Amino acid sequence: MMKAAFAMPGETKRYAVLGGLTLVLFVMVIVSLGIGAYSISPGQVLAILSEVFGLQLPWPFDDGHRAILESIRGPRIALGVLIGATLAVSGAAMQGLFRNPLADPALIGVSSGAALAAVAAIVLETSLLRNVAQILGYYYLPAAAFSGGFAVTWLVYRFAGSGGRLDIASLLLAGVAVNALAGSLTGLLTSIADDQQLRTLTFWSMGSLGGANWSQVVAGLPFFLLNLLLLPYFSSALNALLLGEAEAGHLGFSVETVKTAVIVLVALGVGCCVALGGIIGFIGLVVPHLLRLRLGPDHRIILPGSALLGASLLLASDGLARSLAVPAEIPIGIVTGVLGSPFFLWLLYRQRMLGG
Amino acid sequence: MLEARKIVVDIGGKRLLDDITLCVKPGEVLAVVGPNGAGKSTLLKTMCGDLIPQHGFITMNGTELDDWPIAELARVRGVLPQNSTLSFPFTVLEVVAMGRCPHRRNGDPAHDDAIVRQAMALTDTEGFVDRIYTTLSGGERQRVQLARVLTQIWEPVGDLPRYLLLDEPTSALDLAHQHSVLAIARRFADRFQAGVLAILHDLNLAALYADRIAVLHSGRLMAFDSPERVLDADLIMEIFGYPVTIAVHPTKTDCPLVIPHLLQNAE
Repeated sequence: MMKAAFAMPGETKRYAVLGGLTLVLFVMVIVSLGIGAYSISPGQVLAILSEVFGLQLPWPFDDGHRAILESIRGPRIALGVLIGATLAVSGAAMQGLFRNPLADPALIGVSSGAALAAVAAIVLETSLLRNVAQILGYYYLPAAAFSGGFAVTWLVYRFAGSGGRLDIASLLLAGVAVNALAGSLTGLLTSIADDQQLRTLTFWSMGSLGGANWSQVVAGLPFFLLNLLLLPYFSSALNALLLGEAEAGHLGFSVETVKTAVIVLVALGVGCCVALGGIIGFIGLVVPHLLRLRLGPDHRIILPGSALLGASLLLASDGLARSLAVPAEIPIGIVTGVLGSPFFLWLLYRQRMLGG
Repeated sequence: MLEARKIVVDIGGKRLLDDITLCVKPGEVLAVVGPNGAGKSTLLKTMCGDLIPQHGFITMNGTELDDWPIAELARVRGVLPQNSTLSFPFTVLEVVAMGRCPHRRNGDPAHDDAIVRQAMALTDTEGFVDRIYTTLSGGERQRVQLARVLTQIWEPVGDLPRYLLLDEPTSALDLAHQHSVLAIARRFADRFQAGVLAILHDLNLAALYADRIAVLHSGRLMAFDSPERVLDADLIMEIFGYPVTIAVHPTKTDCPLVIPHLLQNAE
């Protein structure tokens, strides 16, 4: 009996929680597909989805319903799931790597670098970068944001990585400096943008899943999947890193390799999120934290759990964004910001109370 | 054998270790003593590969440390840090179980679990299995970390000798736990032929449990021999700048006992 209680800490609990979160995500997907200016009931959504598999469900729907699901809400929800999952998993991995529950990919400049490049791409689309834009087509903006995020990450990383070891404190400080620089340059570009571009910029810098289409989803899919499938592979290493870098090394993990891999995967994933959904804050911060409160810090459950809960939470925010001011839409970044900022302050307060 | 050969370590223009040659044999407990800033922790960090010496090299079982695959090293060597930066709320059980990481690939979970349990019993930490690590006292944390490190080298891998490197393992412990921790080190050396290197401050603990004592002072190795030869009143005066008398331990008569004097007119 004693042995059973001792064996496999929380293994059953782990599967139960992941199962529960999967169910929540499934419900969120069905409900999200239905809500909007033109309402479709969950039953109809299920009927349309199961028709793909040749199943007949007793909820009648017409071609209009199907068309909305296929071309408007389908890609939007798919993108929401991918972005929510990627932001949350990246946040969890960064927090592990930095041994700081307040760390976020935005902190080391991934987001602002991606934002700067995307803004540059929008403003210069009709002039300097016309040819590039024509060649890349749908991939133009994602490619720009991704290269921006990656370039900044690489720069910051090189700065902090001199001497063969990655100094986490320097990485954070370099991130602060680069964030400031990227912010100023973005402001500069905004000031020379024309009215049409400015509208695109505003829309984009506050985050939105509004313009989602299947081409975007397909364009981003490889990057999202790399991030989501490979980061969990480093769960045990991230756990060991929480003990300290030297300790992780003594437990047999190649610490430098792990750090490099995690940072590159996060840059890939978050760059892609910014490219396709604009700047959506707080998902990467709030989701892992909520899970840690209930389940402890073990990355073997926090990473997959974050993917599921992050996707659900982003769909919920997107649902609010679409339905609070019908027929208009609130940018999703504003929804996550309004919900996330107070939570962040509460986290800080709580950490001060507990941490002394 | 874990061996340091003529190692020199400079950090920030300061020479922290100067031409140190010493070794830990399988089955032996080696205590490293010396005043604050003598280079004890630097020596341990160099001997476990965290610091790369400017000159000289470290070998383990005849192979240079650099040539050991890092995962292989983790299966035969445990390193106890002086203090841990862990600030995430892992349970004590989760922390100890991390010591089995190097063996997980070809281990079976129930077996790993049994080892974790035995290591916790040995270090007297089984009472707080489910407590959150960050809520423990300094001494309790130190014992939990020791349990984690012990699970790493609990069983032999092939016929390779195992090593245990302990950076001030007793610094936060009460009297009974100081002795139980060093008795564990002694037991790993005697029963499992493990080589143990421990940094200690208490000369009497070193005398009781170590086979040999290495005395460091300003980065230099001042003495490296058995306790009865090393623990000499003149040497201790020279190294630590403090007067002592060496007596014979009342119950273990082959063991020297260091008795510090009371300074008169101490300011």
